[in-house]
Amino acid sequence: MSRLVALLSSAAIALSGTLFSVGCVEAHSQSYGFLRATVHDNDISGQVELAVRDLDLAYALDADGDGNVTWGELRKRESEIASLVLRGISIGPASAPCDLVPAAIAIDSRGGENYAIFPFTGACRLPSGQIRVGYDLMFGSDAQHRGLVDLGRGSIGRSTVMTPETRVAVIDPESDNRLDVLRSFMSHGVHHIWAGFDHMLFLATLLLSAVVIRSGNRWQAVETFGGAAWATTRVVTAFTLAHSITLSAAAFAIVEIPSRFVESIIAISVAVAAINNLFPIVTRRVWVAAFAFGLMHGLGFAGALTDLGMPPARKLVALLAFNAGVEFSQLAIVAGLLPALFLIRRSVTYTRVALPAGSAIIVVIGFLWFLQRATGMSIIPG
Amino acid sequence: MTHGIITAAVAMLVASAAAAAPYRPSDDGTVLVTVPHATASMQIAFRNAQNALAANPNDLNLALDVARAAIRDGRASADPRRYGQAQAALAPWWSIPNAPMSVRVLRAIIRQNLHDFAGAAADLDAILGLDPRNGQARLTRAFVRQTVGALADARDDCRRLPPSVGVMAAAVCLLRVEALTGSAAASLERLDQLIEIDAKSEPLVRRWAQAVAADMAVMLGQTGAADLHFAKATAEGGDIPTLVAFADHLLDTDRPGEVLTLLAGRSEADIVYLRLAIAGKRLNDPRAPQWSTLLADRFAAAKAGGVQLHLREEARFELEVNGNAVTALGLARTNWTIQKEPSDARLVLQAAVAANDPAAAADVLAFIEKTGLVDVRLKPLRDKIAEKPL
Repeated sequence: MSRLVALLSSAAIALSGTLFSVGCVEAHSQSYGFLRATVHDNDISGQVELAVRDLDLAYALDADGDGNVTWGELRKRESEIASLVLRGISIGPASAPCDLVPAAIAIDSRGGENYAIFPFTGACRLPSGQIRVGYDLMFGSDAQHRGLVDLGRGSIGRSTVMTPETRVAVIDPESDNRLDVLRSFMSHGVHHIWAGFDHMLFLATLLLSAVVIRSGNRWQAVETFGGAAWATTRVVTAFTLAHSITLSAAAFAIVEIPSRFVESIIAISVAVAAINNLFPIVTRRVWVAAFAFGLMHGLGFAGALTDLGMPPARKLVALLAFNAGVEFSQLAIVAGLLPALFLIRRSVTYTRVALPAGSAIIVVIGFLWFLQRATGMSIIPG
Repeated sequence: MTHGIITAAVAMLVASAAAAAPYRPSDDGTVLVTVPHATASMQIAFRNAQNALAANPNDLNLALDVARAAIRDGRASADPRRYGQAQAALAPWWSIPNAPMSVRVLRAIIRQNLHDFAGAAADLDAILGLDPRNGQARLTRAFVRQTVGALADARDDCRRLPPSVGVMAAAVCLLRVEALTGSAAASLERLDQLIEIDAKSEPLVRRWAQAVAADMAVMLGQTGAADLHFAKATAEGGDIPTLVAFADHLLDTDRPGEVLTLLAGRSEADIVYLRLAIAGKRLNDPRAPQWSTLLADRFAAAKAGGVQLHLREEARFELEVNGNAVTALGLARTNWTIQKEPSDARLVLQAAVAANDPAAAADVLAFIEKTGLVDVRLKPLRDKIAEKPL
């Protein structure tokens, strides 16, 4: 409502005596133009994208003045307008920018608006390093116009925003923001483990039985720390290997599974691992189970990773960094938990109380998570 | 970090662009966009002024004419591009702190509409410092102050409006402040009486008064009265912001079907598409996904361009269309630092309830407490938050 009141209040008084009104116009969004260019070894290619509405404002496209800008009206002036548009763009040194050659224009939709696409190529070699980009379109008639520039070399690229105040930018597409991506995605990976109890709980559940061994019908303490460590290593390695596989596959969109399903299975995995501590079925090859469920946990990680929005040019770095963050947290949990469990493994309280009671609680949590995730009800946090 | 946001947003745009490949229409008659009729006398006048200005960009009178026309249209159509065009017309004077008064008034209005409320207030303060009887500047400042929640200052401006602004405008100004500080019922009654006896206000001012009355009726939960006032405010087609306010009232009173009738095909403005997306989602309308994809693209572009014009819309979009309460809460809280209207307060409370984060609503609750704002739409939300332990 504020916008209404504000607009009306100012306009009611300020403009009631204005000479003319513009009449009924279809309203829109703010004005954006796009410049996407890729620098190759011996040439460059790319396109400029401008709203047809903006082109009409700048170049009066509506020849017959009927209020409809048609494809015919644009097509007839195609080469004239394409060269005018490309004149507003410069890529390469200010003294000798690339000579950009227009190709046939096309129409595409951006945010519900028709945009004219002006493809171009340029036969010029740009040495690696910094590239000067100029964008001077529409600013003369619309001071709120923004030019979104995306400049790439090979598979990496950088983006920037052009404004009436900033019509030139010097971009180094290869300049290392790899380190920023690495840092931020590693911390995302770490955060994901500590914020998502489910992965932690699954791991802890597997560890609970790593310091004991099933013999006859009862749990016996593992003799040496080496034995416990070896059992743990197998489990953790299997889990890591499995979730790395599915995380990578999902991050590159090789597999796609609905997140509700994945999250529900992860919840089940927690419950099943805990049940196995209570009524051991899998005792010898726990790592096989860890591997199987690890596949699902990987899909869960991938969900979190895609939600973060990986920079397209740095997908691999982001993926590796995220995974490293996940592994780091996981190892921290193992390093903290395993010695503690090893120390108390012989006590009767551990095998008779802590292990079964802890596992029972985990079973309940796992099932509640499952119910909540499968049905969308809100029962417990996590 | 900004870079990351831009990259992600550009990636999204590229991804959404990839869905539909560029094409060359086979028919020359394919309409790409509708623009103002170039043959209409007003459009001819506007184009002529624009061309004349292009030839002589330092002609102040031409620049003022073009800027006024663009602002006037921006108001009616809720088209943010028009304010950019008005700003471009004033470019030679835009960055001069001591620009001519006529430029500063328009600059304040443009800044207000681009949500640079501090910039707008600075211009208006300067104008009123030199010319305290400037009604246009004082009225604009009164509403800027209402928007940012400086209600005592706004009341002061409304009381000091010179007669030149007209009785109706002065009354609407003051009664709205009263309505925002807990006296909506009395204000509505008084405004109704004024509209009843008013004979000489211009139609634009009368429609504005009707729209403000509708807003008061909404705050009071008087659905019938609000319907009536909105019908009168939009009787002659109505401008887009009024239609959008009407649509919000229809959504609040669970009439999404009427929203589609009111707005579908009416405009391409962001604020219109948001209401269509919400109504469409509630009705399972087949066009709903298309509307929400389109909005998501526009918000991504705004983010990439560093534009903060859409926070309120984006917060509502996240909350009501995407069901993403936590994101919505962040946006709503940022928006609250810029605008403090009842709808902004409501958005924070709604998002805080949905995100189960009552503590996030503390600022808003304190503001409501301080100003005495009474709005039936806020009451149930406040109750819900009060139930939850902090």
